[in-house]
Amino acid sequence: MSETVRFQFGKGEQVRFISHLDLMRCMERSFRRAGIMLSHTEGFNPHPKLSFGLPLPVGVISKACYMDAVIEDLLPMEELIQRLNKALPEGLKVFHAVIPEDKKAVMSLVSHARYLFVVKPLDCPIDVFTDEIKNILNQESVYIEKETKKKSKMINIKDMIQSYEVKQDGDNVVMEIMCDAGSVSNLNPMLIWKAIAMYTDYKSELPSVERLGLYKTENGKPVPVI
Amino acid sequence: MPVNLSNQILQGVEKPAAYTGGEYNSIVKNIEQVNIRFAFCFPDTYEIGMSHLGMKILYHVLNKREDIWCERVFAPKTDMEQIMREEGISLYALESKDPLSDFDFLGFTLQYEMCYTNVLNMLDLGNVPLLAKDRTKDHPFVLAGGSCTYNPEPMADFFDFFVLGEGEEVTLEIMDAYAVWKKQKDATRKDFLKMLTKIQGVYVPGFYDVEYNADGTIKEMTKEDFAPSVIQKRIITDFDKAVFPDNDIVPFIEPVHDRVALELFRGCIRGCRFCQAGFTYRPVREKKPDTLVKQALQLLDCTGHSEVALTSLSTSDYSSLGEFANKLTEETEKRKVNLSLPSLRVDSFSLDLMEKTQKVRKSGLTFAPEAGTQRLRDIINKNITEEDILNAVKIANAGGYTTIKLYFMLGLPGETMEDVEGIAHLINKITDVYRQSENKKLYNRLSITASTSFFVPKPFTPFQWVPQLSKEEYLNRQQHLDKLLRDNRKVRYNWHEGDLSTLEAVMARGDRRVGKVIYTAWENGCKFDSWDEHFKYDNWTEAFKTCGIDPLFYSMREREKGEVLPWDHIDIGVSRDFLWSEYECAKKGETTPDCRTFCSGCGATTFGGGVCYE
Repeated sequence: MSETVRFQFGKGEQVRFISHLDLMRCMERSFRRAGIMLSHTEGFNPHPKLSFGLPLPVGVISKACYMDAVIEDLLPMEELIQRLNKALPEGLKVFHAVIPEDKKAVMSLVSHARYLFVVKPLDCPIDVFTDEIKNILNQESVYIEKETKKKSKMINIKDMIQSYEVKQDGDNVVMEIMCDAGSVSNLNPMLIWKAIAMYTDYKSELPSVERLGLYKTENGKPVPVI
Repeated sequence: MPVNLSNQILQGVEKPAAYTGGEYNSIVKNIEQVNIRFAFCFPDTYEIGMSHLGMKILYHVLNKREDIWCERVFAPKTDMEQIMREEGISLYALESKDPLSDFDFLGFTLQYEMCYTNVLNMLDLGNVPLLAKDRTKDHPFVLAGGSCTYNPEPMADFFDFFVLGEGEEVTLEIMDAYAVWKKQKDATRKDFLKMLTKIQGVYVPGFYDVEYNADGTIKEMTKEDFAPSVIQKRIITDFDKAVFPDNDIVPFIEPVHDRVALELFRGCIRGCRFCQAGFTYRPVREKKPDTLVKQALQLLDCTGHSEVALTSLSTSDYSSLGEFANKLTEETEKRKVNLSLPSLRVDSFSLDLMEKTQKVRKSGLTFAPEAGTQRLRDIINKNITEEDILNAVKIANAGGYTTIKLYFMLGLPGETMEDVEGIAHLINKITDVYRQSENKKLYNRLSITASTSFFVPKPFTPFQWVPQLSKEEYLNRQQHLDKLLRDNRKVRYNWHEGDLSTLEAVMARGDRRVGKVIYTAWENGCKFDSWDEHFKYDNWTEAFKTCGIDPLFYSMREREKGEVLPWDHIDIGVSRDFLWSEYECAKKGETTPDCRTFCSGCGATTFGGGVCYE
């Protein structure tokens, strides 16, 4: 009997720059190497039943990545985790595996994400830059042009941000943001940075971005996916 | 010391994962515990290089030795190169991120002539002197192997030495010699290179000099006393027992060929007269079916790949193909792994095999008649008749295939306008097979892609003496064919541009003087020449002018029988006399049977193995 298993895994520093497509291919192969047979779709071009939660943009790391795998011959969760971790390249690691109670795809559950930005200013003191970012985010609306394949439109990212915290940490500004994520409304963390970079005159390095959590909504409140 | 690759830099380039390493099965060693550091350099992008079987084999052969660490280096794309130059970042190896100058060896593979400027660009990016004569004891030794090194002369100035033929064994012999040399405190670079002249298959160009006649042809090659007058290529005599990688790097980003590659045999029994590989890889040597199945499963297990491809020059000529395919498909089906069969001759047997193995939707069929008439196919010894082709097309039609790819060459020796028209006739006959078949749906869906390339005469083929057709005449023939094919709505006709092929013809049969042109072209900004978007023909033309070298001397001149050829000191086992007799046969339109049918005495028996002794 095949069974859907939901995994939580991390994408770390060593694989920061692999794309979502690369990650999917890598996971599929890791299952094969681990000797865990996945169910395949029917038809002319069968492919393994493996689906992912919200993709991470290239360059973003996270310990909160999720995937659903339909496994042919189910093994104890501990063994699945152990086998998979042995077969994964450095930088990718599975933390949890559960048989989900609801059968909805992991992607459709996601409603919010929490991101951490760490960024160093290049041409102003750190406290000035911290205040600058606070001021930008404190505005009632922060409009930015969002480009899609065909057209671009102006969106107010403040509409999609639930909460934020900006503070100074040594030479860096550290910014934590909780925002919309998933298939209904999604704010790409790179767009948040694009907005800040557009509204400030100061120069800085590109921020190092980590996704701290991915959430679903239960009783109107965000709770972790697993 | 590793180079400093900040996230800032990687965030700014296309496909940054090509520059970060860390792939599954890539090998990281402790530099304190290795004696020799080898950088395997592929002079093209990561995606192309990671598809190359030779690199996988040698990476494995070298890294199996505890005292050696072999790493990989690829040519960065232009966006990454620009940042590296701006930030002063040296070209580095993917595993350690250490700059090229930290290595003992930089081993390039030369797979096609138009990668030569990339070699120079990579050395430059790695802060290694481009000319062998400028390197000191502080610099790595720079070597090359691969199919282009059978005529190494155009690149002779840039390499300390070349390794001719198959590298599985000779590479380690070179490493052993280096370990001995490294222990001697006062030994010079020349001392090491001198040691190498004792190893079969190694050519040190610095020990040779060329004298020219007044007409520009070669008078003779002179050499240091201790250097061999002829350098014989290396082969693995017992191919079944050849070292084979028991694990294989799994790239994150998708390489051109993303699969397990299984080499059924080396060499080709056919002897098509235009094909360099058909002569340089002689004699044909096969692996046993059981060995191959074992190796396929081992690689599938350790990589997690979902496809196995049988790679050989002509898969259909594998003597136990039926037995082997049955054994392999039994295993691949269990694992839901696809089996890919490029270079199969189309007949009922192979279609049956494809039906069985390819669970995915029907891919197209590929035919390579190479020439449009029987007369010309006999000249090039492509032993396939029009009847064979049309029968195969009937089988394809019966099997429901509707996508057909056809490959031809224009400018073959002896080609006339009739032969060009023959291509159109043949294509029309193929179309007729579908038109006349009962299933009209198949005819409606039929799509033929015909491609022509511009013939480039290559060293170590019977056509090594012939002139290449002029670019003007090539374009004339290509346009004529285009006109003839315009009426056939089922055909899409693709052709190669002429410029690249004329240049390739110079590189293929060039001598040492061509090295200056390559250097100048690189200075003029040429790199990634085989990429349409980067190819700068005018900069090459400029380079020829600057160096006072006429490209047509190399591409369009007919060589006399007695002329000293730039590669005469290289011995591939096939004799020059045999090649000349094949050239004579070509002129008479006589064909030569394949190696299994009849031994034509090419000379490859000298290696003491393979098909010659079956």
